[in-house]
Amino acid sequence: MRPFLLSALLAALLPVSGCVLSVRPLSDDYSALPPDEALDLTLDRLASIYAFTDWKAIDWDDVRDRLAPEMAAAGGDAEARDRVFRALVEAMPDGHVDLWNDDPARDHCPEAAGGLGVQLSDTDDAGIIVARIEDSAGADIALGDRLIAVDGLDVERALEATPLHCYPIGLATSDRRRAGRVTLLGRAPLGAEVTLTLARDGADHEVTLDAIDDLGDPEDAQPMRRLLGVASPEDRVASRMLDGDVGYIALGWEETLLSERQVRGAVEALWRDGARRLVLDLRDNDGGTDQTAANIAGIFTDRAWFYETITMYDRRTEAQAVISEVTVTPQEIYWDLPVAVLVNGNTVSSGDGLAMMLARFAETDPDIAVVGFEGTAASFGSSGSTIALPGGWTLTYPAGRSLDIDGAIQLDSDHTLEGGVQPTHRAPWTVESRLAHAADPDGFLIDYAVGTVLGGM
Amino acid sequence: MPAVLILLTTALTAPARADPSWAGLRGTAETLDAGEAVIRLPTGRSSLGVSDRAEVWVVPFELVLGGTRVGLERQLIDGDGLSWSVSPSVAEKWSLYKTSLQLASALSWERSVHRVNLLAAAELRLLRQASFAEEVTHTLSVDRVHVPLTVSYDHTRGDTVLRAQLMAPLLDEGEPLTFGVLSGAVIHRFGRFHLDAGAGLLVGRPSEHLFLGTYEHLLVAAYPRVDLWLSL
Repeated sequence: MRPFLLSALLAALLPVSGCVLSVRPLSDDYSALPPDEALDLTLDRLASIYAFTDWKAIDWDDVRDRLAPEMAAAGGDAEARDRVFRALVEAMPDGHVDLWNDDPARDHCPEAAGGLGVQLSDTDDAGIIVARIEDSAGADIALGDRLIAVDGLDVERALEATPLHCYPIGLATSDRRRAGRVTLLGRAPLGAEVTLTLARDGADHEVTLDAIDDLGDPEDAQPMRRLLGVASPEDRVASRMLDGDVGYIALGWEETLLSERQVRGAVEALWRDGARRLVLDLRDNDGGTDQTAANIAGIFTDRAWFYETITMYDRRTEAQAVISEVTVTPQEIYWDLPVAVLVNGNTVSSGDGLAMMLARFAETDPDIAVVGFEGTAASFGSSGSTIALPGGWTLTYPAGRSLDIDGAIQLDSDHTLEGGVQPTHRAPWTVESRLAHAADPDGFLIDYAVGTVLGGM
Repeated sequence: MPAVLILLTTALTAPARADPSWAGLRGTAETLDAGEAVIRLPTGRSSLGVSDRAEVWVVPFELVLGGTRVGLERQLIDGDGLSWSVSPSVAEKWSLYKTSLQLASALSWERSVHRVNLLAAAELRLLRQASFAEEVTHTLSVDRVHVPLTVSYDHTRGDTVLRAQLMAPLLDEGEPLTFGVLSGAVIHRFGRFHLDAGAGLLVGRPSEHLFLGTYEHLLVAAYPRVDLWLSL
C-alpha cells in the first residue's frame, strides 16, 4: 500500500477512536499510592467527574475536611483506613456508588459484623418491631415486640447512631437510608452485648443479646451484602406458573439481547401454559443495558415512548456530553393483560428505568400496577467508572446521567434525598404485613400483588 | 483495532491479480455485467450480474434490522456519462417479526475523473406484533418509514477513488433531516480487490440506531471494507 494511502487511513481513523474513547466510563488506579494520597486524588476525581455533585448538593471540600484528617490519623490501621473509604460511600447518596473488595473477609464491616439474632422492621402503626427471631437470640423476645430503646438510647437516637457507612453501596433516598439504619439496629460488632428495651402488651422489658458471627456459608461471595439486604439476585431471569392463571417472571438484570430474548420467551411460554395475569418481579434488579430495558418495557405497550437521553463525562470538553437518546418502541409481542410489577429499594439502574416506564404506562393503562413496600433505589445514572484504591478496594461511581424529555435529571434522588419510582400500590406497613413479609420474604409481596391488583388467585 | 484491520486487509489484497475493472463499486448506478460477482467483506452487499443491465444482491445480515436483505438492481439508463438504476429489495428480521420493503434509485453522472452519485431510497418497515390477550392476535403495523438521501462525489486518481458522501433522511418517522452522516473514504483497487476505508460522523438523532453495549457508537465506522471482484 502506498504510504500516502496508509497515512490517509490512519488520519481518518484516529479521530474516530478519539471521539469514542473520550466519552467512555473512566478507570483510575490509585491502588499503589499511599492511602492519604489515593483519597486526595479520588476526591479530586469525584469532584470533577461524578455526575450528580450539583444535583445532590455534595460539598467535596466538606467531605475532604472530614475524611482527610481521619485518613491521616488512621496511619497503618487497615480497619481505620477501610472505614474512611466506607465513609466516602456514605457521603454519596447514590445506589450506583459501590465499594467492594475481592477479599470477602475485608468486605465485612467490623461495626456490623455480628448479628443479634433479630430482624427489625418499620411499621406505620407500631414503630419499629421485631419481625423475625433467629434461634440464636434465645431471649425473651416475641414477634411483634415494639422496640423502645437500644442500650438506653431511644429509637430515633439509636437509629442515628447506627454505622450507615457499613453499607457498601450508596443509599440514595431518606426512606432507603432509614430502612438501612433499621436493618443495622439488628447488628453490632462481633462479641458485643446489646440491650434492647422492648414493649409487649403495654409493658416494657429489657433483653441483652450477643452479637454473634452469622455470616453463614463461607462460600458465599457476598455474605455481608446479603445480611444487609443489598446482595445481587441469584436468578437473572426466572419464570414459573403460580396458582391459577398467574404467571411469574423474576428479572434480575437487563443485559444485552440474551435477557431480552429470555423475557420474551418466558412471556410467550407462560401464556401458552395458561397465564393470563403476570407478576413481573424487579426486586433486587441491579440493572444492565439501557436499550435492553427499553425493549423489555416495549413488551407492555403498543406505542412508542421517550425513555431517556444518556449523557456521559467527556474527557475532551470536561463536561457532560449527550451520548444517545433511547426510546421505548412496541416489541414483537405485546402483553395486553394485567401485570403487577414488584419493586424494592434494590431495584436500581436500568431496573429503576424499567420500573419508571412501567409506572408511566400504569398512568393510562389500568392493567398495570407497581407494587412494593418502598420506592426504587433512585439511581439511574451511567454507572461503570471505577477507581482502584489501596487495600484491594474498588470504588464504582456514575460519570453520566439520565435525562428526561425536557433535559432534566430523572429518577436519581436530589439533595432532598427524594427520587426513584414509588409504587402505585404500596404494601401496608402494618405489624401484620411486616411479620408476614419477614416470614416469607420472597412470597409475601407476590401474594399481596396477586390478591390486591390482579384480583386474587 | 483499526490498525489490525488495516494490516488484515492489506494482507488480503496482496495476492490479488491485476484487473482494470471498477465493477460493482457501491453507491453508483453501475451494475455488474452478466457473470460478474462481487463479495463484500466484512459488511455490505454481495452481488451477482445476471444480465448486462441487472444484478441480484444479498446482504447476509443487516445490523439495524437484524436480518437478511435480498434485492435486484436494474439499470434503466446507461449512456453519455449518465446512468440510472432502480433496486427493489426485501428484508426479513431473523426472528420473522419485521419485514422491510425498500425501493432505491441511483443516479450517476460522470465526466473524466469526476462522478456525482445521487442515491434515494424509501424504506417501509412492517412489524408483525403478537398481542397476548385472552386470545393471541397478530397485528401488522408500520414500524418505520425511512427515506434516506445520499449524495456522493467520487474523484478518480488512477487506481484510487476518493469519495466524499453526505447522507440525510428526507423523512424518518415523519420528521425530515433529523440526522446526517458525513463520511469520507478512500477506495483503492488492487486488481480483484477493492479496499474501501474511511470514517463517518453521525450528527443528530436517527429514530432507530444500533446500541452496542452501554453506549451508542457516535460514529459510523463500518470501515475498512474489502470487495472481491470475480468473473465467473
